Amino acid sequence: MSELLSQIGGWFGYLSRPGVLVQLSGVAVLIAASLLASRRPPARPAGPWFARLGLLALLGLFTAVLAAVSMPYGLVGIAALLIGGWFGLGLLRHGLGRWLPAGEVRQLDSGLLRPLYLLFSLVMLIREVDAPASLAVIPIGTWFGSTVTVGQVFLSLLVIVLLFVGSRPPSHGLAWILQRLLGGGDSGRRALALLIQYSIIATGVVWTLDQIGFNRTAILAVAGGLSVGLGFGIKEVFSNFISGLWLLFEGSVRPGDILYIDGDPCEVRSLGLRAAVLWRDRDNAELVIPNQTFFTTTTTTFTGSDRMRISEVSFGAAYHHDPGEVIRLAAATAAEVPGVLAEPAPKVLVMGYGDSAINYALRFWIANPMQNLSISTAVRRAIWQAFQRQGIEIPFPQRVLHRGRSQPG
Amino acid sequence: MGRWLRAAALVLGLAPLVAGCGLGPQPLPGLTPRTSTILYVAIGVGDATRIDSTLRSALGEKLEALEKLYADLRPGVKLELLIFEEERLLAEVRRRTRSGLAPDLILAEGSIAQQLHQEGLTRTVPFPNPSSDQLSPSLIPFAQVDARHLFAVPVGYAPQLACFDRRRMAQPPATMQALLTASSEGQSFGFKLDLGDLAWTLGSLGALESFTAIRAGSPATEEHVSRIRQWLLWLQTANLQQRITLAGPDANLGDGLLDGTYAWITCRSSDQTYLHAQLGDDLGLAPLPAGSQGQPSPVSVLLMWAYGRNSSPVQRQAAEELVRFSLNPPVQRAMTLRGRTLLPVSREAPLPVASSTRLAALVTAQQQAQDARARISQLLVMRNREEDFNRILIAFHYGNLGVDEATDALVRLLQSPSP
Repeated sequence: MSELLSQIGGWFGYLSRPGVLVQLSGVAVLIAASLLASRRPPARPAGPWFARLGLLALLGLFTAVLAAVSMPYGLVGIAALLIGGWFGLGLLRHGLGRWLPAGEVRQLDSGLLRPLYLLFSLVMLIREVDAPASLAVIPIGTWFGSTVTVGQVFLSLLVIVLLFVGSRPPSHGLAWILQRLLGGGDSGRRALALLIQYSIIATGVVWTLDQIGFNRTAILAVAGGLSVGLGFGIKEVFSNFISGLWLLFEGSVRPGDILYIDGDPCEVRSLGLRAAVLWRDRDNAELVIPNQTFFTTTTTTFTGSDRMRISEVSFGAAYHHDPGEVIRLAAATAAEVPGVLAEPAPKVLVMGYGDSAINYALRFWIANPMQNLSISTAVRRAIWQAFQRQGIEIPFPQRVLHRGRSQPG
Repeated sequence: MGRWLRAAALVLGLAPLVAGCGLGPQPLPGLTPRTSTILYVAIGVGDATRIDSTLRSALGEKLEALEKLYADLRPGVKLELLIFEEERLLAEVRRRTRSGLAPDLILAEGSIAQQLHQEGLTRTVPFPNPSSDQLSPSLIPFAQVDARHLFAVPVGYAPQLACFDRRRMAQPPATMQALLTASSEGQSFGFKLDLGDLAWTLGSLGALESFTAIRAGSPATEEHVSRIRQWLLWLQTANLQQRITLAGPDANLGDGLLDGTYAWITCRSSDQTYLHAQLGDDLGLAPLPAGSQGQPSPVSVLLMWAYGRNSSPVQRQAAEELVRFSLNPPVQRAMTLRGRTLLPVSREAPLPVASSTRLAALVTAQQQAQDARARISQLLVMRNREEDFNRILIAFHYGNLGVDEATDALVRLLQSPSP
């Protein structure tokens, strides 16, 4: 490690060269000026883009001036190239937004494209100040008897990051193909994609470490040590991980499922290594629930065997209306509300004789559990309007008071 | 914005401080300045696959040894090693010169140093100078641009010789016949089908005179043609031996020696760095075999220090002083004894050859190269036709050309004007 630090320290020796100083100072000044300019409120929506193009133009001009006076200019050129590339990523993101959902684009941009670009920039800069081939072979320690070099560590981290971030699209693609071939629902496809992704990551990590030269025995020894450590230190994390895998295999909780959490229907958005992320439409909240929760508590799902749900709306009608007429009208009204399934047909039940009215319960089937509240609201409105048209009274709570005779004194 | 400005100010503010390390007072005449500076030293190695921890460590140790020796005279100079693939060296120096990050010193073969100079990537040094005074006078023409300038400064010879594995071969063959006999007895040998690499066999087999005579414009007499034919026939005979491999021009014979494919290969003394790092004392060195027609005619490469163009004044001064220091006879002797990869170019640097067979092999190989230099240099002029020569040799090797056709093709090539 000391050799690596010494080598990195050696890079600063270039700062004693006037040619290098002029280039770095010029680039720093131009970037600072561009940042200052971009802080001002833009006169036009395209203002920031003009500022960026201006910076690139100035860097190009600076390069040309240095070349004209026979001074080194390569660093300015590289700075222009890297800054231009960074701006280009913004354009790419904008373009991808036309084809992919915003969430996917955000994840692709911040999870893959920008980190990869930063890595590429780092390698470009190191290539300028050092010889990457000889830098890569600097040993930084030993791993169970094998010497580990800078290049090995860099390559391992790169491949592992790429596996974590880049394995998602091919996993989803493969799951999609398998869904087409074998059939199955969307939630099953998502679960399959997650399983494929974990398999790729696990296989890739072991393969990468093996290819790069890490001792296999050491990997097994570390795995053994980890399993002991897991039992004590991070058992919760491991428990959640295993729970997540188990849930996927079992299929009781899969991405796309609708679960009832604290009285609200929530959609499972993703099932991660540690926790599941659920979306609650009532307030657009995302709930992060540790996977093992689904093992220790009762889970109510509306998407276990199918996605249908029975909704219920309660109402009352005055005593003087024939219950048979009320039941027919309520059932017919509900059947006409969009979202209420015609089959099984809505059913109205007499629930009891209340203080002010006869109480009824209207039960109907809906296809999307997440729409329970909106369809129930529509059904209530339709019943009120239908009762209004037919002159069926929904009475207020009434109480008849009888004044007793006063006792003679 | 504030933090960005602060960061920029920090960079700009620190830079002069760092740069200031090299801006000390001017030294008095005869005294060296005691300011610290970093010198970037670029070295080219055969190919990318050779760049590994062992080679880096071995080269680093050599540079560190030079740095320590130099520290006695001029403390505060730190040498940073940059290792490049030899083929990429020119491109790397070109790119870095554009960025202002060119190495201060480039240790390269004479031909590469000349190319660097021709492309304007290195600066010349005045001649005569304190460094050139240390050199053998015969070397000056190889480094001269004109009467008053050198494009680089010779620092060491790397002659071609034989490398062998002592565990598998107790005694290396001293003659071409002994080589064939050893192969029939089970020893494996590796050559490269490359004219530069096979040039030594021209001397041993008596074809060198014919090559140079035809090249010099003499008519291709029957005797000349016959000698070239005999040379090709020996190669054919060697090729028929089960344990003699004529590998392609790009083959890495050193790897074959390390993995046990060969017990004996032709090598350059500078290859020892990575071979010795793997084989240790099992690596043996020997002069190349002589033949019934004469001594071998190996090519000795002259390694040179070339000066990069982007150095600061302090780095420039330190680089020139280091080069001068590296040519001092005691330093040349010490570096040769320590590394045993380069032979001194200094006028007076006697080597204890009696106590070291390796050193004796190096010195003998260099002597053979020097004896053949005048004749070999005729062929070196045709370096840019090397691929044409190699194509003929490869076609002959695979039987596409018969011995007479190959002889005719070589004669025609030697007679053709250089492009």
